Amino acid sequence: MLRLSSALFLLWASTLVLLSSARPLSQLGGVKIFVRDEATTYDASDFDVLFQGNQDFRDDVDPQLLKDLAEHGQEPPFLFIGCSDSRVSEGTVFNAEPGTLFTQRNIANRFSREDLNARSAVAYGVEDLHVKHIIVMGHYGCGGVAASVASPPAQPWDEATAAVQQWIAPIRTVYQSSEREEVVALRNANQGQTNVPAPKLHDPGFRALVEENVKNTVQALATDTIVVESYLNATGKSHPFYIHGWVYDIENGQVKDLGVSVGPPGHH
Amino acid sequence: MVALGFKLLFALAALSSAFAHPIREARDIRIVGRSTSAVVRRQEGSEFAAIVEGNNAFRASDPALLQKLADEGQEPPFMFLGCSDSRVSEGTVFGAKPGTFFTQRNIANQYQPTDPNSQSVLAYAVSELGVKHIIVMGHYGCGGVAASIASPPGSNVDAANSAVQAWINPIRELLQQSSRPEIVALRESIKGSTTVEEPDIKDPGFRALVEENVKVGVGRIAQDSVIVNHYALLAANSTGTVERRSGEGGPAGDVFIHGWVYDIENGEVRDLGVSVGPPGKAIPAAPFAAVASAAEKASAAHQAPAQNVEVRCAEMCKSKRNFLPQDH
Repeated sequence: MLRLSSALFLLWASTLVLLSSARPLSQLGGVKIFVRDEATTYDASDFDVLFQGNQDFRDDVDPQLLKDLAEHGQEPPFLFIGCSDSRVSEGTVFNAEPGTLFTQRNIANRFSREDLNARSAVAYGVEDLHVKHIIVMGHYGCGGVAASVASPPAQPWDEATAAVQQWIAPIRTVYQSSEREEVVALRNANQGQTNVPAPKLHDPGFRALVEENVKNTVQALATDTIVVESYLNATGKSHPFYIHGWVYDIENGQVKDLGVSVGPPGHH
Repeated sequence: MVALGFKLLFALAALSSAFAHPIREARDIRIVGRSTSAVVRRQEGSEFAAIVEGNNAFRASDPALLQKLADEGQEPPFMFLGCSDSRVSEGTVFGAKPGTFFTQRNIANQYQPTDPNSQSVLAYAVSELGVKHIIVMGHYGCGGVAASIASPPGSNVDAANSAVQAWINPIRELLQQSSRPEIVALRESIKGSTTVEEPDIKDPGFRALVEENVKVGVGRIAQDSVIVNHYALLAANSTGTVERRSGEGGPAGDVFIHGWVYDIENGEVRDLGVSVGPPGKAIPAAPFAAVASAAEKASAAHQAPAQNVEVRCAEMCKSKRNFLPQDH
């Protein structure tokens, strides 16, 4: 893809050069002065990057793959539960072909049995698509997790602030109750402060809390009726699936397995 | 520059094999939640190989960008509301670099003001990140929309299918209420039947319902208090600042909402032409083609004539005035 964009840039640049050399105005001592007939301005729009990216995708992708996926339906091996963060788009960070990851993305990759949005995605992934793996992936530097450490903004809250604060409230609980030593240390350091700021990317307590939040989501999934029913009934036996907790490092794109995977009882 | 890229790729490949990448290791699984933990051999799946390789290639492609985004924080120009469908990952279909889209993906790209999940994403996108464009994108062949057309499961109701049915119920309602001709025709054809199957991807009623579902989403976002409050802030021309993740406050900026549809058969993106913006502001045009003219012509007879941007904004402003705070 790097080569294609270089080629396209060269093509664009050379097109501009050619266009700008419209006709000679005069010749002075052998020097030709060229003038453009009309302005050839490049009308940049906010969406150009998306339009070009979509063109590139359509040029590069296997058209037969798209047709097959459209005709036969999707059969993704993975259900991906990730963060809404713009730096962690699963198709991108796994360089995945269309049809790979059925995806729920929300702030701080949460799952709760009260959340119909995430629950329905898991339900569809497990029961209709028979995914083989559910991947819960958090990431260092997560804004939602950071906000759960920071002091809440001063009241009164507007609707937007209330919506975010209410969504991350369960992560505050994880932060307050975790016995993991790095999180305990962070809590102690913040104790008594009235205006706790969002922690820094490399803070060990922050990083540990990102990981504990992932484990919390894996746990919530593993104990949800949808998963439990599936593991107990015929569907679970004929279509076993596993749940994994991973963390993504936004600094370098590395993915780490937290080693908390769950699978159906007695299955090989 | 390409040669340097290759050298970097080789170096990283050598390094990563030296460090035995964690997710390549075969791991046995410990069952959580039993009184005694049991170690079970995990099946070696080739499905992981593809994403591990993909991640390696990605990590080599632009490490400087990753470091910059980590150091400076994200400033995505776009919020994306899309479908969970594995064929429509926004990063992939737009060839987008990291840092482009702040994303919510759920079944059938729905927005409901009573859904804390999607509302928190909208809230964070607008008030914390200051995104400029919100893109709602549906896709032909959407399973969630198809399921809203098909008959609900009869006797075999479990936790899983009741969750899906509850989530797609608003689309069932849209199917019943829409006055768009293709949808009316579809409705008539399935009336009274209890064994309706999921429709074919090319079915005009199905395609129309995919589009109408996107339009309804755009409308709901436009009427959400997050947007209403934000547009009121802009209109009042106040010096109210938008708190950004990086800590820098800045003046509240314009936010536009767009409805697009993606064709899974060929990767095409089309604009439904229902964009909304702050009153009085010209809406930036998306370079994507409008939806197929056949569908548009059919619906034109039942909708208001095409208006220019100013008139459209004025009309919308009139209806939105009811939702503005009393002291506006």
